[in-house]
Amino acid sequence: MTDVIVPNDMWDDDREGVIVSWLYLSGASVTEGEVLCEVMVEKAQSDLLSPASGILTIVEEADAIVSRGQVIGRVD
Amino acid sequence: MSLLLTGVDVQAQLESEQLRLSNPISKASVVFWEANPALVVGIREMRLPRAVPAVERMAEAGWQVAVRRSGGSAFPVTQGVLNISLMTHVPVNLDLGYQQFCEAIIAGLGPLGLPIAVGPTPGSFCDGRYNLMIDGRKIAGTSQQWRRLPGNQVRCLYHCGLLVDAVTNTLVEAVNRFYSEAGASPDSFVDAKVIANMRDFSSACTTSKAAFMLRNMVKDMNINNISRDNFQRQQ
Repeated sequence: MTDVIVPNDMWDDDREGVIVSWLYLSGASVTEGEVLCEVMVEKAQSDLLSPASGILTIVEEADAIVSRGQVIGRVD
Repeated sequence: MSLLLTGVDVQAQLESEQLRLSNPISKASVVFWEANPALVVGIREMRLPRAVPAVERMAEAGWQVAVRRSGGSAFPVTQGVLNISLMTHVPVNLDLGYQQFCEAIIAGLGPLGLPIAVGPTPGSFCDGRYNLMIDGRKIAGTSQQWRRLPGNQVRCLYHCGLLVDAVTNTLVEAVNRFYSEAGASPDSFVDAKVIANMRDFSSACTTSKAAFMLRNMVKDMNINNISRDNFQRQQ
């Protein structure tokens, strides 16, 4: 199991972001390195790449408020 | 040759930017463009209750609606709005990136002698912490998009919509009409009093003149010499 994590490198404080969209549904087969979802904070939108190949489980849905470093999904 | 692309189709421009952003060998660059009337909205706004019919109604009224991948909410573009799309390959953090981007714009426009400040403008369209303002009125909004590429590469697209000599009431009406048609919450609506053109403060200002003044933005952002490590050492 590999966690999908909100990146730590975009901002330095404890501001919260929001999941803009997932490009796949839970249960989808995904490939390492492809874009899984988009996260926005302070009008800056970043895509998140899949950390592994496998089956995606979404933990936090689109529009969820998230913190940097937070686990928002898993790839098994 | 003019630095400014005019009569640009927004959807085509946004798609072109995405292609360049995904190209691992493309270099840092800046593009200045002025578009046909369009409303550029965020992905989340397309989930408003009546977003799809709202797009149709806006098109009937002469406003193309395009969805962008950089952050933020609805921002109107027409003749008189100078769009700046600057791409870098340096993964600075978002606040430092905004500061560099805003400072490069302010420096480029410096010869106009305008008291441009950076900050939030409550009641404006596409509000954020890094608007450019004069006398508390928003003259520009900024946004970023980070594209992550294999091999831990990050490319950043900075965008600024600079209101130079647009018809601001028309811009505000377009945004409010979209929000009304789409069923947005009341706090989404825009107050025209907090929006201004640069030309309100500098009568000689045009989009082509502003683009010319900003032609060295890539160099002014000093993006070839700044890294996250450098930033942390400077603090």
